Amino acid sequence: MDELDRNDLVLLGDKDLWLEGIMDQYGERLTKLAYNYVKDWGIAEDVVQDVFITCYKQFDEIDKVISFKAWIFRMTINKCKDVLKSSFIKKIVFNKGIFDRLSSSVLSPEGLTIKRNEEEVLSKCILSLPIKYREIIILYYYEDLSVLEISVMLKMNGNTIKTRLNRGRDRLKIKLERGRI
Amino acid sequence: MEDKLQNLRKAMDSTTHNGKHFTEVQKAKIKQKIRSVKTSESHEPKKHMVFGFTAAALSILVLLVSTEFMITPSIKEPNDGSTQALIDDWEIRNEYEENGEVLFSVYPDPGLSAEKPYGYLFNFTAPFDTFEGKELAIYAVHKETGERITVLAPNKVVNPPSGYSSLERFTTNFAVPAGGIWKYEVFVDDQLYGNVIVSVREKQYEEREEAPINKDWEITPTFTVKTENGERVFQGIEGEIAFMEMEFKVGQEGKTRWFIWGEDLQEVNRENLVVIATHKDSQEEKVVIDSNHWEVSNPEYEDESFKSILGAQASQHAVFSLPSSGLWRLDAYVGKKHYRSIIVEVEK
Repeated sequence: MDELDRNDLVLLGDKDLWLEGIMDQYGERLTKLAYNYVKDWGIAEDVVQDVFITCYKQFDEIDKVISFKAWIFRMTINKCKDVLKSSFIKKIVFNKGIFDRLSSSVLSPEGLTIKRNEEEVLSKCILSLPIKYREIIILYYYEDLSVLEISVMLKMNGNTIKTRLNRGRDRLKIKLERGRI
Repeated sequence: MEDKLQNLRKAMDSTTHNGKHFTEVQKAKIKQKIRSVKTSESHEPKKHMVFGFTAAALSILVLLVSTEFMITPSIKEPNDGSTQALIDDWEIRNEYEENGEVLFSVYPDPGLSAEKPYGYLFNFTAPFDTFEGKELAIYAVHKETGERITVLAPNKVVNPPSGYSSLERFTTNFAVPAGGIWKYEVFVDDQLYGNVIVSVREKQYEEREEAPINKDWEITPTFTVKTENGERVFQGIEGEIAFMEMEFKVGQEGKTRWFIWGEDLQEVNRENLVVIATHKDSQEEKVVIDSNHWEVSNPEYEDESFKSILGAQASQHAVFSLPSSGLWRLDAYVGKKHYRSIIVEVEK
């Protein structure tokens, strides 16, 4: 469904049909996006469920949204961040020092042998990046968004995004190199 | 590495993200959840509907319904007796007549408004044996939404109130959930006895007059919250409404962030945050903020996520100024709801 269709449905006020459409269009994508943040399919599912329910409730306001895609992405991201912030996991596990140690033993790129699928190593390394770098790398490479689009979506300065993109790549490189040994 | 990253989607989708994760089951779950939210919002107490009414009884009643606006008796001539008359009869009247005789009238509290319980005095004219040993119930139907609620559960009438021979002075206390026109239906032993139509004002939000005009105009104190990056000072009432401390100088715009607590609030609210400033001496009023820029957890503030530190449900950044020096009262509203007043002093 393209933007025009959606707007037509919004104009027609057919809420249910519209919901069906956006679920088809964004459901899979947002679930994966959410997973990149929360790293748990169950939680990702909950987040996305929440997103669509919010969409449905805000149906009347939707026509005021300039870019629906940016809006729904942003909402998903924010909900993920809320989950990360609020969750017990964050307080214990995401505590910096511990997280680093954990990530090196659990996701241990070092432990992965050369035989392991390269793609899998890359994916896992990305998922083990700190959220602020992981987020940008995912949006840029996985979601294929431009720096400008990301900056609008995250309400973040373009230079900050570029910096994080660079640092993220550096960190990723180190992780990958360690993984290859 | 860049080339690998260029194919990141493929890499992830074939490994960590492999498979379909947004299934028809998930879709169905969402739809079901939406439906359940919808039905719980519009609770339909159909069980209170009385179906024991025969069409004949209905039509007789309909013929007899009148309103206080029916001054000329000629209007009361029997018409076709369709049920429509009963349903569409929404003209406000505090009396219920049958055969030209007032069966009862209601005297609601003059301040009657939504959501708060108010006292109602019903004056029934029939002798006590009409009610004795029977169950009296009152249901309310909202004109706008059709919502039907029980405001007085069926209750056996045993004795007349002391000092009265019948129910000339039957008092009850109840609240209706919304403003607008309400029909109160009185049932005696599950039979519709009559109805009255009452206008209920919208919920009365804390009137601005109730804000401390005659009080001390004491400057609202600040409170401090410790964050990872040091202490932050807020002015207002923690747990209700507060903003990040800012300097108030005449005409000088200041940037701050408002935090509002409330269970009915969401991160993004339909209604605007409106802040009305009132000057103590001149009583000058000024709308300083009227904005829907609800702050969604902003990654820029990830290091100092005040909202999570403070636990406020909603927040907004705002830039505003006050036009003259002295004490100002800031009354914050989200929609019509008032969220306390904050007194600030503006320097010259």
